Amino acid sequence: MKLTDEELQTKIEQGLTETSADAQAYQHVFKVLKIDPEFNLPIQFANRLVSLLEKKEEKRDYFWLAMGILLSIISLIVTIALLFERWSINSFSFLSSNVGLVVFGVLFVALLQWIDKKIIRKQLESHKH
Amino acid sequence: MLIKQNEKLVGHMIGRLIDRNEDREELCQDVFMKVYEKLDEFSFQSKLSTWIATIAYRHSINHLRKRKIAISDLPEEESKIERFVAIDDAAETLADQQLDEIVFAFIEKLPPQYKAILTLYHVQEMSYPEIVEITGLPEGTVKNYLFRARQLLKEKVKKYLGKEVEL
Repeated sequence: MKLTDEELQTKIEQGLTETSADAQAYQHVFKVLKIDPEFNLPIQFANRLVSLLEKKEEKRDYFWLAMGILLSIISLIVTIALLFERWSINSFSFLSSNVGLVVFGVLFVALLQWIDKKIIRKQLESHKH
Repeated sequence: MLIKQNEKLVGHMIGRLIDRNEDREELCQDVFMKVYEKLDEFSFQSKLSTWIATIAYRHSINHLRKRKIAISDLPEEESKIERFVAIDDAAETLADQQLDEIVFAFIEKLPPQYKAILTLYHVQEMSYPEIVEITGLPEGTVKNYLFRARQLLKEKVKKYLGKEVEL
């Protein structure tokens, strides 16, 4: 009894052998289908890609740095303009009586930035890799 | 690490679907860039390799669509012979080469979706649900494409073996 194509495919997939011309042709086809396609990526592909990704990240960092600087300058200008328009220089007199607090505030913000850059971001990047 | 583990998968998928060698490496690069950018969106609902294969498959299909290449069109029964006569001519020029290489040449002539399914099933040894997830095709269609692709290849091999015997 002649087997249908569907039956033949199932049998050959299960590793059973048949002697008909159809079965032999299928056996060739199944053997070739298991072979890896010819195309292979170059050995340096992964390294090249990693350095490309790093460059992209670096560019992104510089973009946000530039944006940060720009926004800081704008807000500084706006703040100074508002201060000089509405208040006198005496408005800053409270700073001189709280030098310690001001120094602590500046150092604390700087420390937070440093932790973000050196520890948190590096950990996030290592998770991505 | 992620690249090393999956470069074969992406390479095989792109290598099978994209015929122009100059586009292949660039497309693989694009796929991994996309994977890196979207890694935060990966929800662990499937295997990472399945998710990466989905990106590679969709990227390849989009690339082929841009080049206006038919994705899944197989000739109707009546024009099938006509299509494969053209391949026969190519096969004749390869007459003294190994049958394996000829089968590879026939695989190359299949529509991209058929090639993708054959690669995922036979080379990557993925299951039907995984292939369904990657291609977005219904399971019935996946099974049907797989069956028809193997049947067409069998017909070609049978024809070729017949010719060889006649010689």
